[in-house]
Amino acid sequence: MNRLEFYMFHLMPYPFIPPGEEFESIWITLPNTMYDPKQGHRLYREYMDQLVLAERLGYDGVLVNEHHQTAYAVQPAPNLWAAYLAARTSQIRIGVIGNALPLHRNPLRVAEEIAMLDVMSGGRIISGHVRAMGAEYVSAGVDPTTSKDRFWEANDLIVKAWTEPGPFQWHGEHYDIEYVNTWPRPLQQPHPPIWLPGSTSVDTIDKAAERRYPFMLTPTSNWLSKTAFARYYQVAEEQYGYTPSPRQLGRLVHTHVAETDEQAHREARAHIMWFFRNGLKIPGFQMMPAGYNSKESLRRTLEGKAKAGAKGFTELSYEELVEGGYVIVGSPETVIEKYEEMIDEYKIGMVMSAGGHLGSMPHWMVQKNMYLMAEEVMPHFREADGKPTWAKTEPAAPQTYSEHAATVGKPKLMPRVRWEGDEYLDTATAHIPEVYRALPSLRDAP
Amino acid sequence: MSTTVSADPTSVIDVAGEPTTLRRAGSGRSVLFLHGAFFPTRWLPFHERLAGSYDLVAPLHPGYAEGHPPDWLRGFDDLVLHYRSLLDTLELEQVDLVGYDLGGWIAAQLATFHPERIRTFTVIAPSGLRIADAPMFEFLCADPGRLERALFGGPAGEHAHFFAPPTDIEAFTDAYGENGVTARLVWERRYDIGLDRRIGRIDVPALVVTPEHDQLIPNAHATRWAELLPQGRLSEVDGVGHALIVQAPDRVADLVTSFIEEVAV
Repeated sequence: MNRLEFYMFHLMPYPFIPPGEEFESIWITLPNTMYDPKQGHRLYREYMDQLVLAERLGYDGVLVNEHHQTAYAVQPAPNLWAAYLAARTSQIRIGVIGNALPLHRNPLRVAEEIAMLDVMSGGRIISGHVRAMGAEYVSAGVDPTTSKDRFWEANDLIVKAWTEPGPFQWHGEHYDIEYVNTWPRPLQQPHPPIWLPGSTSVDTIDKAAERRYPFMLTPTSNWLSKTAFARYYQVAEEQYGYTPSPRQLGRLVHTHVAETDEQAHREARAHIMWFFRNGLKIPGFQMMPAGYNSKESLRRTLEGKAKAGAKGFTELSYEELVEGGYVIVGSPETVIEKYEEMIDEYKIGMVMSAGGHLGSMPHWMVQKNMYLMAEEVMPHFREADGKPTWAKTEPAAPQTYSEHAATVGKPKLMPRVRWEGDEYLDTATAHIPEVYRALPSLRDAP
Repeated sequence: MSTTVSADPTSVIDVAGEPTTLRRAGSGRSVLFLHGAFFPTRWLPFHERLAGSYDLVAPLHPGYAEGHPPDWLRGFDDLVLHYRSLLDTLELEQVDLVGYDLGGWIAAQLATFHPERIRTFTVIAPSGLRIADAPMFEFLCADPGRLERALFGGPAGEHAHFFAPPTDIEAFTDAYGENGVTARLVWERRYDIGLDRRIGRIDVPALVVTPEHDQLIPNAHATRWAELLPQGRLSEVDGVGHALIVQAPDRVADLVTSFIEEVAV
């Protein structure tokens, strides 16, 4: 087994905005007149190409996610991206990490779209489920005070829609649906893997450990990462009696690799600072609008930060970001060393944003980063064949019609239509005179 | 400020099984005061002034004392039932009803469903209506400085202590919890389009108090309230903003008491 899985994660930011000091927030209120669709078209094309390239380079997966009304991440409809990627790639795993479940008035829309994507892509979909950021409850006009409850009810409804025979009734606290009978059903059985991306919130970590959902930690310091992953292991072992696989834990840590340490810093530093100073410019009142968190939870967060003397993302210097482990920048040797440390210390098996786009990084630099990651770093963590996990895993559906015919065969029911009386036609052969003239009513038909 | 504020006269009573925080002081006619989204939990000079003339009954809406909404609080109908039970518990057959801001909206719901329990009806800078081209200031996700100016019509000055900075963790998170209860009530419903029609049922002597220049709930709202109330009249308080009960407690209380005295039978 490969010791580490590599995922290309894309936020798809729109970087053509002023420095962060010149606007209130990159969320909710940043005027959309700053978005030029022609520049946006060029960016989207580049972003598409970067994600598609990941398959050829041997990444284990490509990841997109959902954010609204922000230049930080211009991807309000991540399932559209996944559909595009499903068409442009053939084997790599595609993760939507994730759909923001409580923002949807009817979560079955997510169940349907993920199932569609799974069938279309040949069972390559990872379904990440998130609660959505506080700011997104403002953008969407959805009540944040019940969002945690609705998140879990939506999650449970989606899983049941994928796994239980329909139709069935769902009479929940928040969703009341008389006929749950989702078509299509997903290809992967029992259902596409569910990931829980999250910050260091213990609520999310504990629930993920309980349900054995892979947990993906969003960017934070080495110290907080260590605490978060240790918590997952501890909760799994002490409360739920199992030892997690490293594949249940992933860290999203933006990584830039170049020929030498010095060259990597030269290339990445301005783009990293764009991400932290501009891309993460969000005031506290938008991060935590009224009702998004409990007062106890906010109190714990603020006390923890005060105690640790932690700075906000926008206040960190480049040196602090590198030293604190918020980002990894360096030569292949340096990156290998840092990833080895993560495997040792955190016992994790997945790394996201491992070589890829960040902030305002130009297309050529992203591709260079990706090539070096693939050729100089990935092989170190893989078996001798250097293959990504998907190349060593049986696909969920046959890759060819001959294989399909040999292993799946014909559908259990072939299409039939009643013609007259109790005469039936098999539509697959109904155009052949020798077949249809066997029916008395069609004996003389042309 | 001329009024001396005495100790917070708070107790917790049982209202139909729900522990309810009640501030009650003074004697005379019973006045039920329903607080708003702003200054919900503090005992203010304004309360003190009303308690100087009346038996002031000033409960906290469910959840505000605890800083999170109770599970059962799903809408205004739950509040109407809760306040009817509160009147029953306190054996108050009828009250003079006064509501500030969000409390005005709640008061209107209570008065339309239980008009028999209301002698007079007063709202102070009430929310709850939808007025074309005059939306409320968005306050549940607002820059604290902008909110302060919208609320006070400028810097809060001597009242700045109402806005705890995030560094004052306890006070800041207490306020965050209170706002979370407001969010449960109004996040998806900043107004009730049915209220226009319903307010006409409040056919008792009615007063609408509005500050001279309300930057949080535009003055067009108060004007409309006064038009919709069959016996409504409008009184304006000069030189203050939406925080009028804090900025001009004496003048607002005087308007309320003289109105009640005038129409008292």
